[in-house]
Amino acid sequence: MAERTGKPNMAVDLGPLRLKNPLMTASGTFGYGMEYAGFVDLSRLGALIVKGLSLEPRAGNPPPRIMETTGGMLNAIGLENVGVKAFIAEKLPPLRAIDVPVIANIFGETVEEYQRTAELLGRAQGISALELNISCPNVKKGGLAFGADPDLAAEVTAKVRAVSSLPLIVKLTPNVTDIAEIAQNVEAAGADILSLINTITGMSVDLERRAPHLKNITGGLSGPAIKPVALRMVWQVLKRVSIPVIGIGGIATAKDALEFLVVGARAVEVGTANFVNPSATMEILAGMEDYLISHHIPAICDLIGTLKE
Amino acid sequence: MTPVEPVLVNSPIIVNREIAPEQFLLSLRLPSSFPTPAPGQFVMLKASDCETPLLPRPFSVYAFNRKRNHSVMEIIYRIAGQGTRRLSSLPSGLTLRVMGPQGQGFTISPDRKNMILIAGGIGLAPLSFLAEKRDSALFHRITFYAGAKTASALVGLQRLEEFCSDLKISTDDGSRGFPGTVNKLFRRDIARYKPEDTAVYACGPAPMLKELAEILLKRGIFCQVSTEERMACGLGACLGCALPTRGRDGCIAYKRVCKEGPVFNIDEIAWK
Repeated sequence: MAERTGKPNMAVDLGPLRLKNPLMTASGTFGYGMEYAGFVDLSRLGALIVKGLSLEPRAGNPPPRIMETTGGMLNAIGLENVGVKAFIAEKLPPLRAIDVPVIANIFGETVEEYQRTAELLGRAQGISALELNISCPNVKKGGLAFGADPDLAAEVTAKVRAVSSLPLIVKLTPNVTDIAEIAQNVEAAGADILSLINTITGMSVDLERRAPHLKNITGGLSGPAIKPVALRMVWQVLKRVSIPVIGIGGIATAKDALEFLVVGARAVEVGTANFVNPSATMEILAGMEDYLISHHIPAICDLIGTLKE
Repeated sequence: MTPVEPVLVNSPIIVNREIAPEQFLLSLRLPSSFPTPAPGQFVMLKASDCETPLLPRPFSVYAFNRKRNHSVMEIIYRIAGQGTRRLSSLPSGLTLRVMGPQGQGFTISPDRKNMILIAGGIGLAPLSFLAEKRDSALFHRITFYAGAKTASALVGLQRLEEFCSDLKISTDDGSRGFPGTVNKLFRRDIARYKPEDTAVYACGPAPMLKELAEILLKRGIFCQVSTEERMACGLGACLGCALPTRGRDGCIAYKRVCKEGPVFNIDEIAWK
């Protein structure tokens, strides 16, 4: 038995960000953070990404909004959020007291809305980075148009880049033919970091009623079912870009998270698993540390991008 | 009511048995640290070691009793889908992950001495808990209307008899008690209840609650209902369990069944 030499070094560099560990919460699955304070030591997260914010508050879609499917769930929340101003006034202050980088996920229906939202967050104290949602598939006229078109994706990235000095993460949609092409365009337009994947558009039918389960008919699929798709897309994108990538999609265990790092992601976001078990992030983090210890790997960085092809 | 913060605990199943066709009584052994739920609050349950179903499921608390060094919580559920079917197969001794107690419970008005409880099916569970935990110093008179499709589907009546001044039963097929819906039975008696002295609490299928809203609409009787919607997290983060309510401006505003609910004033809900 080899000696245990204490805890492994979990710190990662992620473009301009330095994180104490690579574990982040995925937007839309962690509320505005404090909802989980009773179940998670928020200061142990690598970063906390809050619910997607728009310039004005949004009421969201009529219910039913969610449906469990095999190994996952569909959601059509409709980007309900309190709006960026209420976020800054009410939701951000308690987070400032916690030693965790807070990343604001933002979206808009026009480039100008993205810009105004980014500007307001740039002036607020306590935001470590922006994550641009150019991919939410739920709202008509919403993110899909930006994220599914290489030129629009580049345009919104460049326009937000021009008005914000915060580190800029762009979150990519999988609902495209060639995600690597979008990734390259977004990189060229000034993104610091990419995160992928957002949910995969899906549908679920109630046979007895012969009706869709979701009022919105379609929704975004998340959970363990999408992990293989996410791994494949992270792998594909990393072959074509040189900026760092955050892996997202179906991460429920330490093993899942480590697989994304081996493929080359420098960090991961945990989403649906927070619904399954509100303490999931802490269990995954502990499991990642245990893996490194049991495999005599001194630092998490030693694992990143070690896939043998 | 002082809000308590929900906790996450592992809790072994004491009993999980069928008490009527497709209806089960589940009792769980909880650590003493688990906060006492208020009537109307719920818990999220998940078999911690199984991957299907993925998400935990919400259940109203039917009973909660503190023992010397632990607590016992009871739930009544019926098989409604994949999650409850899987739950019904779990044996005694197996551990469930329990998150709760969560949500807003019923509001008791000390001045309204007539408490009318109207239950459709296993909507009986939170109302039975409410009847049990009422403050006896307030001298409420409790009339319980329990409705079910058929006599064999009626559960929990024996316990209710202890807590209620009057227990009225209806079955849709007339196999026991009043033949017809529980709303119809209540409507027959409604003229007896003075609005200023009466509070109605109801739980049951959405169409039943909607009809009750129409019955009560012009009478000015205080009424709270316990609602249901599919939810993922049960702690206010996923925004899955949206319920349309009427804001003060008359516009639709979504509220979360898990946080602002599951109990709402009946006149607040925007019924479809």
